[in-house]
Amino acid sequence: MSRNALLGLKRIFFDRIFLRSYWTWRKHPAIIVPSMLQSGLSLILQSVITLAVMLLLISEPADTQLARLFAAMISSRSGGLLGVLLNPAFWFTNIPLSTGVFVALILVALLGGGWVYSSEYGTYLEAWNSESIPISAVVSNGSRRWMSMAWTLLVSNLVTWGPAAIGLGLIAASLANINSPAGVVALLAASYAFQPLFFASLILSVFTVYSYPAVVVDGASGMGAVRRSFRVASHNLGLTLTYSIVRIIFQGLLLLVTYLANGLGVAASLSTAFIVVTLSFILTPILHLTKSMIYYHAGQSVRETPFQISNLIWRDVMRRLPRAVWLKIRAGLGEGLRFVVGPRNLPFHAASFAALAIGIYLGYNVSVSGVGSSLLGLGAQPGHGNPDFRQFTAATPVDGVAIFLNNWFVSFATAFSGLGFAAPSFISIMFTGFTLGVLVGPQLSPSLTMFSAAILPHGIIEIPSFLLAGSAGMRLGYAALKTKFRPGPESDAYLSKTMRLAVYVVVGLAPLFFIAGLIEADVTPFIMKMFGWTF
Amino acid sequence: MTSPQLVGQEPSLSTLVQMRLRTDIEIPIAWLLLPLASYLLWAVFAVAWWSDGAGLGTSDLTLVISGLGTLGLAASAAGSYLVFILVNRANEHSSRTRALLLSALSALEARVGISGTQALLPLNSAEEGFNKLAEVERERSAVLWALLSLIPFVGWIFLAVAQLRLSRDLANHNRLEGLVFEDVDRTLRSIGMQGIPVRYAPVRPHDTLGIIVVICSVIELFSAFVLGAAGALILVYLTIGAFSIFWIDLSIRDPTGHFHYHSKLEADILRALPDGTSTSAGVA
Repeated sequence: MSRNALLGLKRIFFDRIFLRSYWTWRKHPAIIVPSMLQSGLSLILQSVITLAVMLLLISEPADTQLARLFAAMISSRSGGLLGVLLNPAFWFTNIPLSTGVFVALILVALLGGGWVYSSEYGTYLEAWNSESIPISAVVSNGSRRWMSMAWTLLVSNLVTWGPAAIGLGLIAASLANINSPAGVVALLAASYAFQPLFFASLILSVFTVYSYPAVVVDGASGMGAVRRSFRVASHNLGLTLTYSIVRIIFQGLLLLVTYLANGLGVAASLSTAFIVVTLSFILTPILHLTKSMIYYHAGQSVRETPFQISNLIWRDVMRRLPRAVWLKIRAGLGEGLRFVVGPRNLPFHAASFAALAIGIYLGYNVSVSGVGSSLLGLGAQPGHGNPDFRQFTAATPVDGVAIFLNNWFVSFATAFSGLGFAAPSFISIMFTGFTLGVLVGPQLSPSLTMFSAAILPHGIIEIPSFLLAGSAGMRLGYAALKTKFRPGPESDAYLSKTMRLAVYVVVGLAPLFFIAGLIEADVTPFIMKMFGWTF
Repeated sequence: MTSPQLVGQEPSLSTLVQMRLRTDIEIPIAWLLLPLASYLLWAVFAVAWWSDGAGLGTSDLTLVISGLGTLGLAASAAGSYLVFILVNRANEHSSRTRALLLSALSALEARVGISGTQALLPLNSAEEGFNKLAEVERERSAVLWALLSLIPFVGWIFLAVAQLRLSRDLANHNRLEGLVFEDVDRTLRSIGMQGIPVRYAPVRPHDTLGIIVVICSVIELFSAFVLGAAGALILVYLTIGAFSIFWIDLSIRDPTGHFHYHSKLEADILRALPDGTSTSAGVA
């Protein structure tokens, strides 16, 4: 028997790939940049809605429905943006605007998603086989296959969630005639049909899991990528199921942590920030990298992962990772400081500040013109603070950390959404100003002193930090515009340099947001009480 | 997907033998305290929750339950780390053994080529045995089993299943590698070299324990008529948990003898087949 015959069996080991994915994540911090871009994309989508709501409020400030929408957006309790999206009042208030918003949302989700996923999976592939990954790889990978990825994104989602969407469509159609007995029967039938259709979608999601890696590994596109994903998933079903189960358990555990944290007094809306940050920066990159590399190793030309003793992740997480994170934050603080004082960045700082000022001005006008009265009519109580901070409890510092995580994540999104030619960063900062402007209006604020007592203690750190993130976003937008209209190596280099700078600036903002978060949860409520606020 | 693959530079026989110190680790028995703490905390949690649901609790109990749950989850994480270590140790031991056997077989092939054809029969048999070993042995995902055992309550069932599989895998591994070692020994002797001291000491799987757990749990489920569904489930949890802890203890100690045997055997293999005679080998 020849030795080759002994080697005829090639296997793919989940643990070897998963553990190596962790170490790749540790070795190449650049691979979390696409996750940051993902948050930027979410903010671009949000900015489409926020811009629409701001425009509607400016044109119809006395409309109570619009005020309700605005209250839903700024409230953390009523589902925020999702609540607005699901609110029929938003879609029926202004049909042409709603249609425009809908089309814009689909286009941004597809094209932006194509770019971001192309960047993400391309960077993973490069990181797996390289010693170092420059930030420019994120940009070049995004530009390389974004059209194929956007097409695959559409086809893959249609194939996967099509059956569930048909089921929902049937339910929606039967709801139209719910008043008649035939309508009730139709609704029951649609409800029964929905369950198997949804289950079919879940099964399909296991088989289409490798669609995106197929685009970057094999250069496939659309149905071709979906077919390849089906083939690899069915040939490695155990491995694919292992990946799916691991992913589900990780997400379930995060939900359990949130549930228990709520039981200990941490507000639900705040503890979700923990989930978002953990998922975005740690779990998603590692799990997506694992998925990509399972697909990569399924290729016939790729050899089996050789046996090597794994270094334990736990020791690294406990001992080395915190120091590595701190070193990055320290480097970010230095870069942030240079960014603030750099004379060439003044126009971007000015643009960011202008966005806030315009937002406050518009918000104040809208508040005076009717939104303030509408919000009062909806139950807003001037001089009454968030009851979550009624008294200092054991959970209060945890709330501060959650506020920090939430704000830090928003600052990431604000900075990286700037890639959409600066507009989303501008709109995001403007909406922050708009909210402040509405709240400072005379009907909602008993006095400027009370308003300042509620905003300034933490806002003195938080608002400049947001402005700085917005400023980084403006510069990123300028770099993107430059690359678009004056393509060339110089523009590409400028874009890569700006993206690197944006990463460092927002990483460096962490200590500032941390301090602001703790002040907001622990100190601001006391100061508010001193100035007459009740809880 | 299968395709013949040769791996570039694989570790030498001596390197693989040295790796033993990192793969065949002895886990301190004190680590058993981790799943024990998890078991006790979740038991208290379950009783507290049950009491609260029955109207015996006060409003403060919600905070206590959440605190217990958080502590239980932390203890479960520590317990699941032990599961990860146990499964990973089994994976690494069997992977290293396969790599070591493949390397030894390559070295023997080179020796047999020089010495003549009388050793071909045991060598072929050894290669066949190795093929079977490589085909039958599977790496269980330590990450998956650790995460499954981290799930509160239900995790104990997965933990028991993981232990059952570990004990069966060890028994299989011991039996199949024993056959290959015997053939390696015969091949060495047939080419006039000193053999290796092969002993047959079967490792028994703990299937009986699994059967007892299942029978006890089924019987306890009937106590639902007396204790109610929640009470019966708590009883089942207490039983499966107690058995699982005992089983973890067995899983910690079971491979110790096997590892000691390897330490002696591998030294003898290395003495018989020093690195100079082995050629580049494939992957395990």
